[in-house]
Amino acid sequence: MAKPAEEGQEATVKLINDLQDISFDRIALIVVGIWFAIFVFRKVLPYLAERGPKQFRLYLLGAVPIIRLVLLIVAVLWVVPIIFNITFQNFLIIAGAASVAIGFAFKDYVSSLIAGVVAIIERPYRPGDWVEIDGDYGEVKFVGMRSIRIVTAADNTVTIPHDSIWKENISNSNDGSRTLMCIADFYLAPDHDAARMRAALRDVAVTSAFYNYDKPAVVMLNETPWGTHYRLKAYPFDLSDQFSFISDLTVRGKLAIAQAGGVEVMAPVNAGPSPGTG
Amino acid sequence: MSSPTEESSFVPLGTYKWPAMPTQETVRRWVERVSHKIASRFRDDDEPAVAKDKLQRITRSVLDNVIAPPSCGPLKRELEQTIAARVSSPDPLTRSMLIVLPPCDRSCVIRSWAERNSHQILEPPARSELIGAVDGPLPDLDGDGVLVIPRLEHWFLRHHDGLGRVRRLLGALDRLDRPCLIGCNSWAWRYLVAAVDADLVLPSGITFQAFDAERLHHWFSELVGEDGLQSLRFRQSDSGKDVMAVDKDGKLENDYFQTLAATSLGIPWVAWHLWRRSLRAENGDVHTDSDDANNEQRDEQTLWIEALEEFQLPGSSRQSALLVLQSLLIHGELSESDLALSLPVQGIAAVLAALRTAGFIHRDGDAFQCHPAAYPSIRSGLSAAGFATDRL
Repeated sequence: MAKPAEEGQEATVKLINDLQDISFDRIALIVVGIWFAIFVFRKVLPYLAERGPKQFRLYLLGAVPIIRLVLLIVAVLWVVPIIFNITFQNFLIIAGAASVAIGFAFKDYVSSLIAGVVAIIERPYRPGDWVEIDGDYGEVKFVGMRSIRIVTAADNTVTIPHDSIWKENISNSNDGSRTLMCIADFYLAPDHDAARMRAALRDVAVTSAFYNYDKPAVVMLNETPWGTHYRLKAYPFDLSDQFSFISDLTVRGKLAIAQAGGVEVMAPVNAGPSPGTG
Repeated sequence: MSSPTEESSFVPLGTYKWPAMPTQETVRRWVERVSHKIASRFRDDDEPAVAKDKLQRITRSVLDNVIAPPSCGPLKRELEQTIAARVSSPDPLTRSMLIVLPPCDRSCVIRSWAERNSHQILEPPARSELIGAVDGPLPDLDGDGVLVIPRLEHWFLRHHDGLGRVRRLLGALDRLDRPCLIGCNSWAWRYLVAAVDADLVLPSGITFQAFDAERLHHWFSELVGEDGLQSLRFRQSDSGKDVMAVDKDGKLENDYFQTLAATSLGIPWVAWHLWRRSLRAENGDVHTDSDDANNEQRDEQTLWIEALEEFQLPGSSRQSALLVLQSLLIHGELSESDLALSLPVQGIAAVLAALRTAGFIHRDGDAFQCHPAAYPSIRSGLSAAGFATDRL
């Protein structure tokens, strides 16, 4: 009976290094150093992104979660060998113990952490993107390890755990680019010159101060039971102007419709799409 | 690039070579900006060759002697040479000619060329007539000789009902059976290509070759020489260096003109205005560097050159200011009421006042125009904010 007990004790000794051999000062230094580096990147890169040329904004914002992930991996790889005596057997023991703890206590939390890593690799969203998740549409302001924070057009901050990517559709309006399609909807009584109306609405888009020259402006229309539905689709030169752009298209579109002999009608509730999508 | 003493012919649109800033100047400006961010009281420790408070601006009459108008310089001669061959060509495909020039050309290069050569100029309608001009009358384009449209940007207003006239004009130009020269500023051209597919009617534009350091130096030296002011010395107020000095191989001894060429984006009228604005006369004793205390230099008449100006956009209403500036560049000039038609900006009068105070725009009658000296700052501000810029 004494022999298995000795073997178990020996295994424990091998799993964790002797306390006197663990350099707690070094661990503290690594943790504080990595934390400080992450803190600096989290502050400096968004600062530069907001003040520098807009063409670099999304790159700078997108670099924050990647840099943080890399730094965290570096910290773990640095600290673990200081505490644990890493062998294949010990790895299996640690993994088994961790699996039990995660399975019972931290399942959802760890699921979000893993989804956070997947999100950094697959990039369904990046800081600066405009996304719609479970009905909330806004700009991704922060991508953390467990969750993201988006700010909606109504200036509400919504925190969404990363594990939403397992079960929700992520609608990304710009997917890393500097512009996104904006749509202004108009519903007209069917009795009008549709070709003239279409040309007039296209001119509304190309004469907007926010119009992006490198993207097309198109007008789609279809007949619905309540009238002719016009969808004016165009891109602003910058993401941040999307609501100003849609408002501008709407204001001037109404004028152009009236001048072209059109009469707007009311559409039923839920007939139109959400802003910025489409 | 040809020798600065030779006339340079115009080049196809898209091949313009933007002059590069000297590395030293780039680093200096970057360091200065960072230093200003960190410590607003940052100052260069090097003592300038002449103290700023001893310098004063030069009167317009003296400036006109030293660097005389027009601001387009040798461009007139180059334009003459380039156009002469093409307008007399029997091939109708080469007889229509588009010349795209950067904005802020106050000397109206193309109009003055047409007037000098007694060509027919097609005058644009008033801006107020451009709204709702889908069915309005178009001037008669038939006739003999060269037809000149000096500024295509005056034929439209960026308004949902303001493109009809320019569309009809382009259609008429496509059917025209006489040589035609069309001038357009580069911002308007970029816009017209996107909005009305103007490049389908006028596919191959040309523009001038950028004015690099050598060309600017040659032109400004020529202007000084013309007025018998060869004894004038132009020295930088910070270093005391003579910017006109050349070595035995005829190469410029310092990089001032390279900086001027890069800052002015190679545009002659921008360089001309920047050069005039940076000239100063001394109103007190000269303080020269110890290693440059040549007594002969004290006897010569010296004009001092201050560092090139950098214009600062108004801190508040920045987005509105940029929208106004972009609209002015696209249209060449606009009145306040026309600006209101082309922009979704509230309180345009206040924005215009702020831009005038900051030196970005000036008023000519009812019309507002961007100031040539501020154009580089305007362009970089618009580019940094994500606006589409011109292409040369």
